[in-house]
Amino acid sequence: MLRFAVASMRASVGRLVAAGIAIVLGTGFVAATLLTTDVLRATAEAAVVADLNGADVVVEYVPYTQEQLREIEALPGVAGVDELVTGGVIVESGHRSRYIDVQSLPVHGAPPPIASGALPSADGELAISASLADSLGVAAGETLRWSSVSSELNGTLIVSGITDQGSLLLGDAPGWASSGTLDALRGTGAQEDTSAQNRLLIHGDGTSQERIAAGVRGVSPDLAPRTAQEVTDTKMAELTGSAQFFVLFGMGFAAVAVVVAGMVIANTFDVLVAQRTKVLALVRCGGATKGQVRRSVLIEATLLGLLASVVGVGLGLGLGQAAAWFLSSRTFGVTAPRLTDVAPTTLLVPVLVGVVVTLVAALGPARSATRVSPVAALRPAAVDPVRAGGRARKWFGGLTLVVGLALLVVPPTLVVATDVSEGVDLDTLLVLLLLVGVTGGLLTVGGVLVLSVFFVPAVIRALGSTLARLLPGEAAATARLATANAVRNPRRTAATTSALVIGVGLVVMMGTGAATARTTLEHELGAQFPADLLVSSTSEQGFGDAELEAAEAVDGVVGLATAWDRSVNLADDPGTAVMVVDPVALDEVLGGRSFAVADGHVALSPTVYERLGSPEAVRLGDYGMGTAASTAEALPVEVVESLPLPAVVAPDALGDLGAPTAMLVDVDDTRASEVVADVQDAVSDANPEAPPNMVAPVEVRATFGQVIDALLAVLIGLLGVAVVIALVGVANTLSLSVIERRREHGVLRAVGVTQPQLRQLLAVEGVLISTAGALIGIALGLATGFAGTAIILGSSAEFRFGLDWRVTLGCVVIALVAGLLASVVPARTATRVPVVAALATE
Amino acid sequence: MRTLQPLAPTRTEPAARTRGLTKTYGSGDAIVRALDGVDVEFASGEFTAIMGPSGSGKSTLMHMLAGLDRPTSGSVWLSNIDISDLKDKQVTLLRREKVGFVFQGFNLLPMYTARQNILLPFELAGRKPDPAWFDQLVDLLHLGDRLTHLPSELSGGQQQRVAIARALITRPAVVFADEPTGNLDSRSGSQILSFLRTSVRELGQTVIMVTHDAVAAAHASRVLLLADGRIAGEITDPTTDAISAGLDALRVDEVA
Repeated sequence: MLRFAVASMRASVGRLVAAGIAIVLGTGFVAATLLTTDVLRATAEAAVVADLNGADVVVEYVPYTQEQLREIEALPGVAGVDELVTGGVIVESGHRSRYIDVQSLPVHGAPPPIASGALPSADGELAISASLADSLGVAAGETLRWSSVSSELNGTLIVSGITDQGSLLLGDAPGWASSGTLDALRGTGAQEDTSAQNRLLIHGDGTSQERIAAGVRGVSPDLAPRTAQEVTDTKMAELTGSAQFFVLFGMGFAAVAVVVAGMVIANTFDVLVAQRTKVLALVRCGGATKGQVRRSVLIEATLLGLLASVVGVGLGLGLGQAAAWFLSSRTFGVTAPRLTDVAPTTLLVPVLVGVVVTLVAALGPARSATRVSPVAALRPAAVDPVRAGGRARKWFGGLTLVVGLALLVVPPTLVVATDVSEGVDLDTLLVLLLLVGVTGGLLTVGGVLVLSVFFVPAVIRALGSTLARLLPGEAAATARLATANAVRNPRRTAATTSALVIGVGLVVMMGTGAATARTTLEHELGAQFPADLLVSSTSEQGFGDAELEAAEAVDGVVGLATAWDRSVNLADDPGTAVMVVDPVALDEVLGGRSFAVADGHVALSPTVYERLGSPEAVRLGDYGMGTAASTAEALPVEVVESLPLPAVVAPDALGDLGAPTAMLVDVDDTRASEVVADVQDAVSDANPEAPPNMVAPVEVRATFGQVIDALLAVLIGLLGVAVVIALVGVANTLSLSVIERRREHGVLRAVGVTQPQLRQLLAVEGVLISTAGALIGIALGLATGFAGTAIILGSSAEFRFGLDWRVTLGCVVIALVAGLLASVVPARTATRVPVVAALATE
Repeated sequence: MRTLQPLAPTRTEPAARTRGLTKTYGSGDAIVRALDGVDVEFASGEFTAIMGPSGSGKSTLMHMLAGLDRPTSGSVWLSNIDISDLKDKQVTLLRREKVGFVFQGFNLLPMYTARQNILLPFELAGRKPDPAWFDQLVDLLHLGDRLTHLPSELSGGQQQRVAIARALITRPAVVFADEPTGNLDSRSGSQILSFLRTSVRELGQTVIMVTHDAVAAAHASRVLLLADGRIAGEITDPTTDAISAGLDALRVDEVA
């Protein structure tokens, strides 16, 4: 049957290519993910090797004496010992500061490469990495201030040069200085024994590492020397261990892509078999057994899987390699793997996966092929509409769906609606609820997929009839005919859309989850501190007019309210701080929530009001520095519903408080960091004696938003592959139906369907199928996304649902466009066949 | 028997006609002349059968007349409109209004009911059919209790009757039937043929049927014999025997 299989394949090359693309994408993904492991390994190895700097034996972080050091140097086989001293300090330039590790310069090992300037030649000099120089904004020759983390020590250093090292995956490259400098940085006198903080890098003269290590052990076993090989191996194990998580993560998505590819393959083979009914029947007439027929289909599947997987591996590796090269040219520390670095598993596993998935996917169709009776060769058969499915399917699917929905809905409701009482371990409870929710989610998706045979045609019919209602006469007929065509084989259509449902569902779930997380956390931040920026004065006099004007004049400052952040508290509740600020100004700065406070009143938020027992008046107290602001009499209370802070009082109510000590600033969100830095500079310039303190929630919000967006982009990119595969499946189904319905299209054209109408027919069918899949996927994605984040974040007081419109609408638009595109080639095939040829009976 | 509404007032011009109609495939030595300079006229309200051995060009002639294919040279008029040079879209729209088809098999859309299949031409045009006419046809063809069935639930004869109903629903200028009884047993077949003849007699329809079956052709009032792409003979008021004799004569010529 091998020749028959090969001949069949040659006859269907075009159609199989489309199916093959699905496998190529899936296996390519797997290969790329595996390649990432190799890249990580190569990178880690390079980092470790660089760290060792050519040493053969390492003594790390144990105390030693200078005498022992001399003994080691005198050992046979030892060419030299580098005593590496390390210290960590904060370096600052202008307003910017960073924490770095500083290392002593190696003598025997290779010195760090210099990009500009020179390595430190004297005490008080420091060489820093290029990335650090960038972030601090300094160049060779300039001065840095340094301060110790653990003590009051500080001073200045001259930047002698910039090293040619970027940021490693594990942080900034260290700075380099002489050991004298390091003593100063660490604040150690000659007396203290800080040897336990050092590393000894022992360079050999060619003698084996073990021999040297043995010698060092001989000097003192407490030194615990390790050969470079040991160190490398251990560090590698650690690094790849944690990298494992990311690889598994990536493999999860690769698995989704592969599963979706499998569904597309199964669908394709289904239609191929249906389309080859005549040939199969003839072969059976000629004497082929059922087993032979099944084998021929499976052989075809194996060959296709093999070919496509190899192409996929090539593609995945190619792309991965290109990406690695690109990265390694920009960032130090990412090493592009050489061909020898690529493990054999990276090449073999994707191919194996591809072949197995294709085979498994083809099992069902292979069985259908055996059911073609030889009589079919003699009797021409029309393509009859297929029944959707029995009651057993309805019951099973319905049950799964109902149970799934219940499990999905209950945990989030519990979390959000009820207050978790004390004594319950919140973490374990949440994990438990999450597990229940995840099970619910899986069952819901499973139920929907099982029932998709009913859902999908229903959705298509709804879409189709809506479309027909909106369109004028002739176009409406096309829409109705397309709808009828799309639902005539519910099983095949459902199989096609299932792949899309999974892909889109996952994308929307991620999008919804991210949007909800972002919205909730933004509200949390907002609740804790509602203003974008708080600028506090470090001077006893507070802010003068110069500083206030300077701040307000900064481009990007939208509003400013002066406040007095002296310690004003509620006398009866010292834990509650009272913000002294003009409520009108505060209202403007905080935007959104509008409120007003009567003169002389203290505004309290409802929570605080209740907590104090609904007092009519409160006294204020002053616990600390500055002008007396305590009031002997109590001030009347006004409860303000929408008060963003616990308590607010206008400065007038407290008498003369002097100059304001704080500014609440509303900044342009799109340029947050820039504006914050500008405000800091402006106020510092206005009063160089007392640079202000800055607390910028807006930056936290912005950073947070960026991180979530970046994560989401990566996730969607990963899932995008699955969605693309699913859409290829739609194109497949369309093109194969066109071939199946050749005769029918001939009849249609004879009866009066024009060529443009025929093209529109197929376009509408494509759009209906893919849009239906997208809509169902979106519904599932929203449900699971909301439920999941409700469980995780629901216990927060500020839990809010968020919807990512871009992602959701984007999916619909992509589905629409893809459905259209999917129909282009099949439509051309359909209209290119002359009517007469289409009508001819074979 | 109820009086059936006749078609439009009897037309005097021919329903279809050709002049010098030629269709060739290939070129040079390998040239195949499917039709070679055919001049023929089909009067309105007539039932004509086109016969000939395989390769005679009878199907090709029908395709030309129906506008399904374009001639290499010569002209074709359908209902007095020269269709030889019309664009595909115009011919298609013309077919929608003026032509009905009954094929040997695969006439019907498998996912549409009998009713939907019959009304297909109107649906495609986005127009509403005449309910009285629809009811008449359904009555005539005894399809009343089959309207909601899918083609897979109909017998071969019933499917052909649905096809005829569809062909007639637009009251076309011509109904083309291509081996309409080819897939049917003799009883259903003769039923179909008598329906076709009824439509000619009672409704004033014009039917042009291509067939190789002498018995079927005997239902027509005129038989055109084709051989090698040319008209080889014509028999009016044919009987089965006369047709068979005519066909045999053609074959003898061939062999000789």
